[in-house]
Amino acid sequence: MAVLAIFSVFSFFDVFHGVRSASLFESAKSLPPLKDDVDGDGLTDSEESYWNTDFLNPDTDGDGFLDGEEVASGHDPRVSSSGDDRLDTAFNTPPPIAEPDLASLNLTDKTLALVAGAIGSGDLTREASDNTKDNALAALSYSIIDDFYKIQDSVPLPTIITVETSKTNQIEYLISLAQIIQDDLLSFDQQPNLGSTIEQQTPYFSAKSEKFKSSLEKTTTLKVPANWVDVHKNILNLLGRLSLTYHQIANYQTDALKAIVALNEIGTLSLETKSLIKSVQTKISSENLVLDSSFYQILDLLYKD
Amino acid sequence: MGNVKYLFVKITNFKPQGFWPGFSAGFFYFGFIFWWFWDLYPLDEFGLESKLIAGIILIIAFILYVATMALPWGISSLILVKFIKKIRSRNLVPFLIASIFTLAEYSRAILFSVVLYGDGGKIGPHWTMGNIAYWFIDFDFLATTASIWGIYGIDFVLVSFFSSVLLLFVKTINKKLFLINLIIIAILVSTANSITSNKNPSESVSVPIAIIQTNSPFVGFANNVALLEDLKNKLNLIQEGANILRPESGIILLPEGIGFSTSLGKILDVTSIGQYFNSLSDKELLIVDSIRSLEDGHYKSKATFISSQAGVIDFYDKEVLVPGGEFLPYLIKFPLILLNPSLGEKFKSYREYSAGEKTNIISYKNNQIKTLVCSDFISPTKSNRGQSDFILSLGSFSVWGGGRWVVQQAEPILRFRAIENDKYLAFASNGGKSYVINRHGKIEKMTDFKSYELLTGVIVPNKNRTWYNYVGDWPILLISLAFFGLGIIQLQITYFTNIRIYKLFIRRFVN
Repeated sequence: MAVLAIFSVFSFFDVFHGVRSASLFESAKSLPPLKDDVDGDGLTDSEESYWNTDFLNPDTDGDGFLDGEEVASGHDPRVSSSGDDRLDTAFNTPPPIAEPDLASLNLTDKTLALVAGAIGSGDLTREASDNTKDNALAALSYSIIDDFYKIQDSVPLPTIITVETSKTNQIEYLISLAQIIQDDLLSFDQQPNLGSTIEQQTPYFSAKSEKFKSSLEKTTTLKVPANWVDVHKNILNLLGRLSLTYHQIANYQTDALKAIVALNEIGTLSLETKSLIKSVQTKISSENLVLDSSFYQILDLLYKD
Repeated sequence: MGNVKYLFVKITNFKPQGFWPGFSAGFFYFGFIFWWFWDLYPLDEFGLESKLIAGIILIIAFILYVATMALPWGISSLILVKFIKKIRSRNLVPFLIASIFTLAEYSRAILFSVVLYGDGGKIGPHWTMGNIAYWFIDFDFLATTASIWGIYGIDFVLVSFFSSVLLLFVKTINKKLFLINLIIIAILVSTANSITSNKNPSESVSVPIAIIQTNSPFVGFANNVALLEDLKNKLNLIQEGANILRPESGIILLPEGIGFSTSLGKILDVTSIGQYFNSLSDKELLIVDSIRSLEDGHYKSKATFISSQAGVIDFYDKEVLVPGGEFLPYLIKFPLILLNPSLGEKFKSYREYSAGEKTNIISYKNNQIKTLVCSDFISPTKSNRGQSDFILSLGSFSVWGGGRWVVQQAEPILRFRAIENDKYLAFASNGGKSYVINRHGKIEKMTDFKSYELLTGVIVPNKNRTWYNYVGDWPILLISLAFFGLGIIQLQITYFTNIRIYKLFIRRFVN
C-alpha cells in the first residue's frame, strides 16, 4: 500500500513542484543557512516539525507566547491559550501523533513543514538536482504516510454484542449482514460521475462517508454469534476505514496528500471487501447453513465447487 | 394584401412536383420506420427530468433523422420527373427508375452517417434501416439472392418489377415491353438462385451455443434487490447453459452492455473470477460478454471473448455507433454551444463513445468468428468483410423500454446479414428477442420478447465466402450507374437532335 501511495506522492510533488517550488525556494534562499531556530522562538526547526508548528512564525497559535515557551511550560503551541491548550505529556514524550485524531491530522501541512525544515536546515538546497529533491520529498512523505497507516490500522473497534452459536442466531445474523454488505459495502447503486470535477464529486464522497458511518453504527447493533466474531471484527474495521477514507477524499482541500493516500486506499479496501465476502461464504459452507437470500444464493453460484 | 392573396393562390394551387413527392413519401415512410423514437420518451433514463424538454428534443431529433432519410428519395424523384420523360427507350425506364432508387438508397445509408457525424461517427453506407428489401425477407427466391448482390440488388429487382407494373398500368409501356422486362428480371433472380443453391457448408462439425437473453434496464436498477435478482438470473442461466453444453466445448453468448464481467468484478477478485468461469464446465467454453470500458476519456462498447480456461483471449470494440445515443452529432452539438456557450464545458464532461478500430474477426480454435455489436448489424458493409465461419451478434433494446417496433425491424436485418454472408448467426439480446438464424436466413430458434431466457442450439460453421463477401455492393452500384449513364446518353441524343425539346428543357430548369 505504501508503495502505491508513494507513486501518488511523486505525482503529487510533480504538481507541487510546478505550483509552489518557486516561492518555497525563494523562501529558502532568504533564510540564513544551517541555523537551528529560524524564527527564534526557542524551538529548533526540527522541533518545529516535530510539533507541527510554523518554523517561520515564533508564535504559531498567536496567543502572545513563543512556541518554545509554550512547550517548555507544558502548553500546546498550536492552540491559543484562551482554549484548553495544556499538554498532558512532557516535552520529551511522543508528540500528539501518538494519540491521534485522524480527522485533524494534516499530512499535507506536516509534509510541507518537514520540507520547509529541510530547506531551512540546508539539507535541501536550490542547487540540488531534481532527482535529489524528488527523492528527499518522497522520503519525507513516505515516512509520514507510513506513520499514518500505522495509526489508521490501530483505530479501536466498537464493542461487539455476542450471542451463543446456534443455527438460528447465525441465520439471523447473516440475513442482517447480507443487507449491510449488499446495500453498503458493495454499493452497487452509487457510482461517481466520472466526467465531473473533484469539486462536483465532493458531495458524492461525503455521502459515501456518511453512509459507511451509519452502516458502521448499524453493524455494531448486530448480535454476533460467537463463531462469527472474527468475521464481524473485519467488517467493522472495513466499514470504519471506508468511512474515514471517503471523508478524507471529500476533504481534499484541507489535506490534499491525505486525499491522495485515501484514493489509493479505495483499491485496497475494494479487494478487502471481496476477500471478506469470500470468507463469509466459506464460513457459511463450513457451517452447512442454508440461507433464503438472493445475496447468498449468488455467492453460492459464484463460489461453487 | 395583394401579396397575401397571391400567396394564398399559390398555396391552394400547389402541386407537389419533382422533389416534393419523393421527399413527402420518404418523410411519411421513414416517420413510420423511426416511430420507435417515441419509445424513448420521456428520456428520464438519460437523466432528463422535464417531459416538455424531452418532447422538444425528441421532436427535433425525429424530424432530423426522418428528413435526412427522406432527402435522397426527394432528390431521386426530382431526377425522375425532370429526366425520365425524355427517355426514348421505354423498356429502359423501369430499370432507370430502379437504378436511381438503388443509388438513392445507397446514398441514404451514407448520408445519415454524414449528416449525423460526430466524434464517434464513421462515414459509410451503414444506416440501412427502412430499406425496402427488408420487407421481403420471407420471399425466399428473392431474399437468398442477397448473398450475390446484397440488399441493393434486391431493391433493384423489386423497383424494376413494380415500376414495370406501374408503367404498364399507366400505359407508358405496352404488354410486350412489360413481358420482356419480366423475363429479364426472372432470369436475373433465377440465375442468382441457382448460384446460391449449389453451395454447401464446408464444415460438418457443429458448434453448440447457449444464448443468454436478459431484461436488464438501460440505466441502473431501482434498488439493490432488483440488481441482485438480475445478477442471480444471469448466473442461473449461464450455469444452466453450461450444464447443457457440458459434454463438449461450446459458446455462451451474452447480450450487449450488460457488463456481466463488471458485475462479477464488484464481488469477486480477479482470481475468483477466473475460478468461476473455469468451474462452469470441464470442457473449455467461450464466453462472449460485453462491457463498457473507459479508454482515453471515451467509452468503448467492448465485446470480450473469455475462455473458461485461459481467461480473456480477445476483444472487439463496436464500430457503428448510434448518433445521439452513443455520441453527439456536430449538427446537434455545435448549434447548442452557439446558443449557450456554457454547454461547451458540459459536453466535455459528457463521455461519448469512440468507435473501435480493431477487426471484428476473432480467431478461436479452428473457427473465425465475426462479431457484430448492436448497430454494427445494420451495416451490410461492416458485416460482409473478412473470412469467417459464423457470426455472433450482441444487441440491446433496453433503451426502448417495452417498444416492440425496433425489435421487429431488427429481425429481418439480422436474417439478411446471415444470408449475405451465408453464415449461421446467433444473436443475444437484452430487452428484445434472441435468435439462432441459419445461413439461409431462417430462424431456427428464438426466445420470447423481453424475458430472461436461455436459448440453446447449434451453429454449423461455413468457411465458404459468398459473392457478396468478395465484391460487396459494387456490382449493383455499377449496374445502376450504367443504367443511369444509358439514360444520360439517351437524354444527350434528344438534346442534340431536337432543339425544340432542348429549349423546353432549358426553360423548365430555369423556371
